[in-house]
Amino acid sequence: MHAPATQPRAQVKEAGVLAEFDTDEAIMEAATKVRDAGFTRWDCHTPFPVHGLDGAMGIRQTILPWLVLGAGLTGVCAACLMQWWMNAVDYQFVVSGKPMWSLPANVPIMFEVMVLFSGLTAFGAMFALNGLPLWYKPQFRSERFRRVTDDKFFVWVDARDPKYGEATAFLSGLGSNHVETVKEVIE
Amino acid sequence: MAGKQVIDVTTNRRHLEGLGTTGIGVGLVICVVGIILALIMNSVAGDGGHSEDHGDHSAATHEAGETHTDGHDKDAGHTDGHDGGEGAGGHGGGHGGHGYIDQYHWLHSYLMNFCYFTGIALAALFFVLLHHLAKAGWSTVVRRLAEGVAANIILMGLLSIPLLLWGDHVWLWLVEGAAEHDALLKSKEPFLNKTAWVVFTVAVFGIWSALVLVYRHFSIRQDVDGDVKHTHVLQKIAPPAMIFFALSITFFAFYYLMSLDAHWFSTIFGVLFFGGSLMAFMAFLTILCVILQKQGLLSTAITNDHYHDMGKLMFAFMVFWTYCAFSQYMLIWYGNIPEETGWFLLRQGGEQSIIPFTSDPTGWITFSLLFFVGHFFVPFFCILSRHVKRSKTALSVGAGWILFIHWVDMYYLVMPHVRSEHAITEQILIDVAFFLGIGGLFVAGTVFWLRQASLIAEKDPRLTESLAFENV
Amino acid sequence: MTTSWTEEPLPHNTYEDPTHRPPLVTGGHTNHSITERVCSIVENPPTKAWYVAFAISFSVLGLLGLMIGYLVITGTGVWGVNNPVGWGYAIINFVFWVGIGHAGTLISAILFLCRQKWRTGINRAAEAMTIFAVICAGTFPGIHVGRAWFAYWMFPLPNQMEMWPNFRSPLLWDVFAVSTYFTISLLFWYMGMIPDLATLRDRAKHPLRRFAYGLLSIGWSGSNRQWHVYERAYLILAALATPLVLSVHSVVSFDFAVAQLPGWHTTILPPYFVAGAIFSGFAMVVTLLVPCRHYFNLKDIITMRHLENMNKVIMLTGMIVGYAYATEFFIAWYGGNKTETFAFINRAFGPYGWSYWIMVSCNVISPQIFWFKKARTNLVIMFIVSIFVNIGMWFERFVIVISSLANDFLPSSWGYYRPTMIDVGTFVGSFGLFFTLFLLFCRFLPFIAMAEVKATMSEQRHAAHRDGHDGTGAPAHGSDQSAKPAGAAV
Repeated sequence: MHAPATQPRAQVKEAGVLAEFDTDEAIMEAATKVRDAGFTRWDCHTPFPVHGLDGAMGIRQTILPWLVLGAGLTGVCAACLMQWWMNAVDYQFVVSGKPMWSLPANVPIMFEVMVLFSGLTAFGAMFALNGLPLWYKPQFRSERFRRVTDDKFFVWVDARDPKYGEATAFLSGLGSNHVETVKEVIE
Repeated sequence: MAGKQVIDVTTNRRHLEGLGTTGIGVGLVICVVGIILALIMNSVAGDGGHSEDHGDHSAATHEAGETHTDGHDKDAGHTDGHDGGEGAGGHGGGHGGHGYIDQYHWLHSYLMNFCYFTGIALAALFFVLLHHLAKAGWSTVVRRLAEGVAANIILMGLLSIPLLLWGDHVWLWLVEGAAEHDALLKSKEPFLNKTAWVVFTVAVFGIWSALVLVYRHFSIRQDVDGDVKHTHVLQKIAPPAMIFFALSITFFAFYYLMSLDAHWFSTIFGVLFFGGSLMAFMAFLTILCVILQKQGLLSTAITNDHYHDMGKLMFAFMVFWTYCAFSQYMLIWYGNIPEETGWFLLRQGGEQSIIPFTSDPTGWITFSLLFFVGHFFVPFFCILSRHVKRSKTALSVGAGWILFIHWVDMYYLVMPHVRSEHAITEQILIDVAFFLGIGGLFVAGTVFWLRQASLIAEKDPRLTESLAFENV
Repeated sequence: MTTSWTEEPLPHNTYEDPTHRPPLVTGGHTNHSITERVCSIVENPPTKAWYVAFAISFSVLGLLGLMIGYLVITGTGVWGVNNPVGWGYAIINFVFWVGIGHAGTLISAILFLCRQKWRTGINRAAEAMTIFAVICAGTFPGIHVGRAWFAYWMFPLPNQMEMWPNFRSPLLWDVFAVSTYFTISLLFWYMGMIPDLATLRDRAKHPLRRFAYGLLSIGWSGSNRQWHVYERAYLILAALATPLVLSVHSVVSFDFAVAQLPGWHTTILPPYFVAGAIFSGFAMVVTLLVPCRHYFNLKDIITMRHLENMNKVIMLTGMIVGYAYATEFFIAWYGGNKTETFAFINRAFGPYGWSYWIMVSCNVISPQIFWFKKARTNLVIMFIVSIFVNIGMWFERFVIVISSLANDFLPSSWGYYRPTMIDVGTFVGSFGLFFTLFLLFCRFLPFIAMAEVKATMSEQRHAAHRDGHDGTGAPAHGSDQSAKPAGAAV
């Protein structure tokens, strides 16, 4: 029923449906309804983080803070071990009459390494948990979707959603000013 | 937008009414219990003490002065082997050898608890000033409570009288003629003399009290007329008041705590006292809020979002205190200069023992290590998580610990200068007795001030913002 | 743009009304007009002024290259350092630049944690400034080691000599602190920029631009599931950067404070250095933003209120620095140590007294003019004061380093430090590096954190709705705002 394939081996199929909204209030309302309608593979796309949208979408808290805590503790231990082994075991020399193993003098580096590990983890975990970098998304095929980084708000329902069949009709009923089906070419 | 509904503060109970009398009563009872306990302990512990007369006192001073000026370690107050490190430490050691059990020995306990509660009241004043200085929004719902706590400055001013009367049993530089035998005290005389100290105390307590009264006055006036200009006035006074506050709390800490060892000095000392006190105040405020809400007051006005912020500040100033304490310790440890290390040597003496106080009675090393663990690691992991900060029960546990550990901090600052051969159990009970005595008055005072007006700044222009506040 | 940089259309949003929060974006902007305004800086061809500024900065950068080249070929003898002053311009410049590099992270992290929404207008540029300042700072220890090609010895890398660095040395703490700070600031900056880079990608016309911004924005699509993790990560980075920013300048202060040298060894040095760093950093932000907001037509986004707030912070931190000066003096006397007392009197009245009084008048006295609102909201005055503070903070480091080293315990070894032309040239050259990088940033990267500004606007709109005010002071429709004078709608 959809557009026929233009090339012999390439196949065009629907990737999902996009509904465009003008304001953050509108997308909040829409998101609540989409969630309550029981869609599972869907998302909102917004130019800025909309306050309260996580709740409206029913997103669970991320585990990222725990990863960072783990990395921080690892950092402290690693720095402590490193300084102990390098200065008190492997290569001993006396400086300004301090003991080889001088904990107060080792605290600054323990702190810095803790922050370094935690920061790298927070950054890396943001990428990993978000599946980034991912330079292609079917949404990018929509010309109108370019304004998602400017001032437009979108609800996206993926074609793999079990309730995808009713998505277009449902989204049209949410007061969206434009509902569009996004197709992608599969080779 | 998604946020919670707008809270109508008028549906909350906002006056202490009958609870006020109960609160004051409880406070006074605690105070009386404390006094009785103190009297009992004083008569028990004082037995051996009266034989030591006053002459011994100045002899100790004399000795300390000598050790410093000729740079040799005559006073074997410490077991640590740092050469020449005893100059300033010997001062405290010399005193400690004789001191605690004379008829005024309770003054050290008194001083420690006095500083503890004065610090909390001062931090409350700081909180109010900061609220106006930063034009803060979220803290409006708890500001009246902070004003109530801050008003205890007046009480603490009155409680400074015993120290003004008998201070020479605590601060050796106050002893008549102490400077005659001590070149260092002589050089410090323009600052460390009785007149300057009394004038300072009267002046700062006077100005602090005036500030508190001004802030309370306009705040309460606004409850009635809702006039925005009161907010303007208070915001205008805040910057100069803050400057005065910064200088006065610094010198308060120098006079009351740092000069316990008059030879020792540390530029960060005032900041350290301030950081710890603010941390303790945030804990005090948290517990106050929890108690009031338990009694059905301000039940919807103060939300988890507000607790979250109080928890954050508590945590932040705990870390700030640690940062300052570490800076002070590490720099003195690293520099290893005799005139500075004495203060820490006094707190590192003795042998390490797993159970506190069981080794050498002058040995503070175990105490100091446990203190540091308790002041940083325990609260760090206790209130790091946002789930804890957003739970009243969990946060009160953390706050209780913070209040306790700040008390230990004061103990750590004051007591090494007096502890000696006497059994710790007797002495710690006297410290607790004074904690109850002054603390009971402090509680009664807080309730006294709180019951005079609404518990919330009724018509503050930022109250709506504060009520609707959400902590993301 | 018809107005000059010194003029500000009235009325601006600095009024005080406790009943509501004044708007942080003026001029009746919509989300779209924000995008237009900010992206136009990058999308329009550069102006003549930009080319001129770039040409000057780049030549000065060339001077830095020459100076460093000459130094590396000849040796550190080309500098004025000798006994007793073994630490000269290099460490002064290092501390100066690291200090400036503190404002960015402070604005992005600490103000973020304190929910100071006005940070959104200025944080991007301030973070960029931070990174470039840290690059300038990092240059100096690198060349100060003498044999710059062995600078990697500062890191704990296994080597054929089987030696490890000395972790008990504060100079090594510096290596860790500054490199950690640089890394985290860079991550923080980049992460904050991802959504805005995506905006540039989606607007790009030229395929090359599209490719470049597409690559950098890693396929960001504004997905709310991603925003959720992103915001948590950003909050955590902010929470980490806050103690980090304090630690970095504390560690820098340890370089001095662990020594026993009078004037260096004092326990308040760490917080005092941190306050000084914030102080100088904010001053540099004001110095940069006052002209930038004019040339890039950003007066609606970096409003007078932003500048006024920064001036307040400058005044506050200036007074904290003044507090530290005073405490140091008091304790130098109170401590009763004759050498220490002498060091401080010598600072003020000795051979380097002139530099001390430059420091005091620039750092403590000049910001006092900000007690007056007229001064806080006057572009010329704030620009001049910010320059004064930059000068004063450089001299603060000069006073600390030079006066203590030149007159230490042993009078027979006293000396007077004089910088050479190479010293001065290297210092001036570092400004070339700084401004070259900053101008490139203005040209190619989003100058304003657009996504954050939009979020702030939305929040203010909702808060105003709650309080029954018209918070933005302007209708929320219509996209062509560029013709409207700033603040007309307030």
